[in-house]
Amino acid sequence: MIEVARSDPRYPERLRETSFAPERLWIRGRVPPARTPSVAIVGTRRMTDLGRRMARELAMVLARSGVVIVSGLAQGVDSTAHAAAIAVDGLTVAVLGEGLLEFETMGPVRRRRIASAILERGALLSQFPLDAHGDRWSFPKRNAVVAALGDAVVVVEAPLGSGALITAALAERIGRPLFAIPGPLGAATWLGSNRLISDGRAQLLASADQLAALLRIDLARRGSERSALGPLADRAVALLSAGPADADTIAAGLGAPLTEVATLVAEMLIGGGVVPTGDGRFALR
Amino acid sequence: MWVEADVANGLPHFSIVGLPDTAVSEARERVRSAIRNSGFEFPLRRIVVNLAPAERRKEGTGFDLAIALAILKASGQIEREIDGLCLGELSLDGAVRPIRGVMPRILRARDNGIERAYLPAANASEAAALGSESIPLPHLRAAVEHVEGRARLVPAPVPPAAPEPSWDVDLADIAGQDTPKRALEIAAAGGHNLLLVGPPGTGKTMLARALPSILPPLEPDEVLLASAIHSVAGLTDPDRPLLRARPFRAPHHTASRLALVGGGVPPRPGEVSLAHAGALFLDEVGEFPPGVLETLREPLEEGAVTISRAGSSATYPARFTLVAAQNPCPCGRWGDPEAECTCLPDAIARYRARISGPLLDRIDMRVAVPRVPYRELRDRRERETSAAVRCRVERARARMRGRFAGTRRRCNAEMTKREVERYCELDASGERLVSAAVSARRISARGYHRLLRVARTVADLAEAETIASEHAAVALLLRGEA
Repeated sequence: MIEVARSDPRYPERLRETSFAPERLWIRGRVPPARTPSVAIVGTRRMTDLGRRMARELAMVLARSGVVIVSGLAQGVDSTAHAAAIAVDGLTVAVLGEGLLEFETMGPVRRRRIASAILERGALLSQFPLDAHGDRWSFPKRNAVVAALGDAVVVVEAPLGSGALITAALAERIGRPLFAIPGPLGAATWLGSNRLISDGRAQLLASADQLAALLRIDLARRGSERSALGPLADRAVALLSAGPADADTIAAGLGAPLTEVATLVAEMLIGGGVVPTGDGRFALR
Repeated sequence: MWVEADVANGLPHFSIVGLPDTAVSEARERVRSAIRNSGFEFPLRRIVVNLAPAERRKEGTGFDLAIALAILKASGQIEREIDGLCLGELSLDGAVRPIRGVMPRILRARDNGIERAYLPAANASEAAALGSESIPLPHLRAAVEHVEGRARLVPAPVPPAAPEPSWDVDLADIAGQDTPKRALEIAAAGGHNLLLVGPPGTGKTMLARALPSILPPLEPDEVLLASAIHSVAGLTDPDRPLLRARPFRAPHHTASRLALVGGGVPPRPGEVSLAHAGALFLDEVGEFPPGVLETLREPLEEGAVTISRAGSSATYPARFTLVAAQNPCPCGRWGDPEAECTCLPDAIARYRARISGPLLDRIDMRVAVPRVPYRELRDRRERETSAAVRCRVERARARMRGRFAGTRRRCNAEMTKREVERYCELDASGERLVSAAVSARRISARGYHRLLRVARTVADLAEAETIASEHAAVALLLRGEA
């Protein structure tokens, strides 16, 4: 772990330029180089399954293309985005609302588990002294750092009053491009993020290509190594990219008998391209 | 168990010794009235009845008949010897009333060379079904007349074999669901435990209820044991005391621990024992209190359950196939392409965690039961019937019987680690697939053995000697563990 002052060359460049760069930062792990494109993905702790899928999908596409995923390691959208980046061996940085040691000793187990996975390739950082508790005021301050560390900020799902809207407001203040993923009409958990769009404050994010254009990167196309398993596997991948599916659905979609599907899925499980979701279905990794 | 009576001179007195419980002690009053009201004399002398062996606790009302006959014999009102097992409760007018748990006692008596039984008329068929000479007694007086040879009673006839069982649900009634049906077939053949996960209304319960229709028939020794357990629980049908179909028990999720594993004084068998040699179905398994589910560990591990209460303990067999069903999340819509789930992620995690790890560890297959598309519901093409599936299951069981001849194992799920290594031989392709899967999916040693047991059953159903990659692939697909 290192402690860096604002003048330190190891202090993240993007953050230093902004008006709310904290005086000191505590960093564990490796902060990706300043030139690496990065996107902050934020949203509510109490997300719906749709929000989870959106956050996961977006974080995976970006992380696979070499974009650093920045978020706040809270429950819900934050954790999903981090976990998705880890799942594709991407880079991700988590900004904590409490001191690093406080988090590492007292933090919830589930988040600590994600944190240790983040540390394999990315970093945890905090602007609060090591033993500081998380507080009502500390999390909004943390949101400022999240917004500053991203080249762009994406709000995935946020009800009115969500902390993610604070992040959005701070992003506007420092001129970070702000995007929001639209949610179903009338869904309470999307009211805040939908309003960002209707008020013209955030751009409607319809495709990851918009971010790719902004960051001047090419999105990595997936599936090159999967072709090894043959055309049937490619069709299975196409089928699963719409969401997790059970063996019957896969068999019906491919028009193949169950034994053939079993062999195919087994090979994809071994190849790691597919994982069981724990309820008897399978999803792309 | 022996009943002795001594009638001696002295002040009128009647006591029963030999650790009787309340029901046995109360036999004094019933016996006294029954003897008098049957036209005999209750001796006004000093009567001591001893239940031997004296150190074992005696429970229930089944001793009434034996006590009454012993007193009549001791007081000279019966002259001939009484040979045979006497069981029955007496009513105050001397009628012999039925009791619970006749079968295990008959079996025990036969082990000791006692082939004749005097029983309440309503229980007589239970002994007859087991092959003992069974004298049905309507009344204490009839018992005495019979023993004295004045009016012989006709032994109860062997009850007719139960008709071919019929089932409420046939696999052919269920549209689609090929994978869950396959998993059921494997569970039926190999005795593997199965978890069905799916949104409400997709047919998890119906699938589980179709399981009995594809289970292989009970083997002769299983019939005796399972019937005996039902007899202890008082669930025997007097017309056909022997079970014909494998039991299928589906306790509701409000069932208490006692109801599930058994208990009480004296300990009675619970659902896990009633499901012995059959299947136990836990619908909405997440709704069972965690403490209750936890008690399933011992029966799942040992195939038996020991119930200890103050002063008594009993071990009942409990080897069953577990079928559990669960919604994917509290609202039931998680992963349903047609509906949006509104559950919060931690609520889903909590919901899934309600099935504890040790229990999940015992689940061999985890299968999604999806919503069936309309066109499949309307599909009128012939679907495979339970009878056809049962044929395959029986053939697979026959292979297992050959494999486990001379051991107490009956199906692949019961294989020990050593037997897994011996019998689950993989061919080259299977070996490749399994070894790759174990390292890629980080499967534990226990998970590996479970995978092989299921793969063995898949191969048995396909009548294959060695496990090929396609069999292992099905086992891996059905494992479904995240």
